[in-house]
Amino acid sequence: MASSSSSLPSPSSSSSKKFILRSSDGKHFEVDEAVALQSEMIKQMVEDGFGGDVIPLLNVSSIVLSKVIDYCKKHVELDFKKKMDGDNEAHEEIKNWDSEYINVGVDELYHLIMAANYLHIKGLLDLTCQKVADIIKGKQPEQIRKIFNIENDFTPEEEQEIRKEHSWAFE
Amino acid sequence: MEEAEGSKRQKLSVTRGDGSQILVRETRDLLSGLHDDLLHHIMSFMSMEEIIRTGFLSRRWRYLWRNIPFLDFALRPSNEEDRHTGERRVSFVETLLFRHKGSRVKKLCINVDTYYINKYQVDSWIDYALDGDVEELDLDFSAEDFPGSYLPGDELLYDLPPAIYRCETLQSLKLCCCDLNLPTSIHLRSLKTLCLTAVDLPTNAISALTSNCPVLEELSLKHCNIYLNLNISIPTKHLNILRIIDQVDEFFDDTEMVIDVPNLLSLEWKGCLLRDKYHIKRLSSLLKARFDLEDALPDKLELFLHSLHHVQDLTIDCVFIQVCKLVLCFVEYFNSNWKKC
Repeated sequence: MASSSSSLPSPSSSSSKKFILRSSDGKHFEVDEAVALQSEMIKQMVEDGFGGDVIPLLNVSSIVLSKVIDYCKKHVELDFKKKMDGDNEAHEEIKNWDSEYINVGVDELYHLIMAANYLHIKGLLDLTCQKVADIIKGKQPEQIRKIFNIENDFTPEEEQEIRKEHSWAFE
Repeated sequence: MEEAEGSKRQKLSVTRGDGSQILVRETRDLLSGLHDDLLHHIMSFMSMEEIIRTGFLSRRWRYLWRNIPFLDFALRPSNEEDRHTGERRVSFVETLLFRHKGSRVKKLCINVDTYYINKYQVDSWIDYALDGDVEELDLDFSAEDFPGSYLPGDELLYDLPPAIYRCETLQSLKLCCCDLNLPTSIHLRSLKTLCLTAVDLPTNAISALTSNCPVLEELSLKHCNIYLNLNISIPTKHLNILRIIDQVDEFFDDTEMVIDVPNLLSLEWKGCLLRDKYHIKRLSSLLKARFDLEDALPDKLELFLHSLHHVQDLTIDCVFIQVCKLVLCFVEYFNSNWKKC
């Protein structure tokens, strides 16, 4: 898992500049420039002159980074396809791939949110946050608490109070 | 990344009251540990009712919704619902705004049939957002039976409060089925995107609006002035993209359109080319044009192609046009381009 060389057919894999990303646990990942620049944070670092060396990502572990790179690679590939084949076809493929990709447990979802936020990858942040919202939607508070291990720390009096407080919204 | 390390199921020893120790498995609540901004971002994918419902989860969540920086009021009752429900939803908004404590309202969306509201209520909602330095306003007042459309001369047409046109923080303004009510003084210094759907624009409205939006990049005009002449004159302003959806009524096809946007880079056109006359004055900076046409009079398309001979990237998608005429148009277009090369 020390390196993640590009196995997918990427539009620029043969000729483009490579970047080395270092995860918080010290593993190195070699990625194409286009893949790395999906992250606004890395883009900013490169613009500020940090592009030549290894880019340290102190807040992202190798397991999470590998998953994030999968996302960035696929989206570079799909963006390229979008330009070639037109919006509609690519849009459908992106939607299908994303929904398969984000089909993960809540812990992994949390780490992806943290990583997408830290690396400023808007598409991934929206995808992960949308997933959490979809899990919450239409469920009773007790079900949501169970899924996300949220402790109900209200006293019975407080619960009563909230029910009263929220009656305007749900009558 | 303290939270990250706590994600794995951990074996913890807990001391009981009698002094003995037991091992328990504990899984931390990671979600509640996220920063408010991220939890608000998650909420941005939920309806207002669902957002408020999260207040039941725990103390951490109880008041979280009160600071959300976006307010999205989709108040159209579904088919089974009656007018009473529509009115109750309006009072839901009133109560919500009363309880909302956010100092900032980045985004306000209102989607409601004017049948259910009175002007002063909506004015006060918009005022609330303007006070919160709103960045994005999306206001849709189309009639329920005709989403995205309205009947001309509709007395229920909502007229916008003039204060909108002096909002310094506004970056995106989308308006549908309302009276623009343009004041003489307009200054939208942060506005980048303007989208007008089914609004009637007086002759100089586009010019007056755009010349007072110094950073405007995108202008969309959808179904505007379908029964009236449409004057798209933006003489000095640099504009990246102009999107037009134009579908005139076949019984009102005696209208004209003026297009004079010398500093426009990209044009996207959907609908038809069926107006009586098109006056294409200046499109000299145009690099890219895309036409997705349902119907077009061949001479009108020809006129456009003549005016766009300098465009580098041209796409035309049209099924109804006479094929031979189209071929002729293309031949002329390519001839003029070859000459340029």
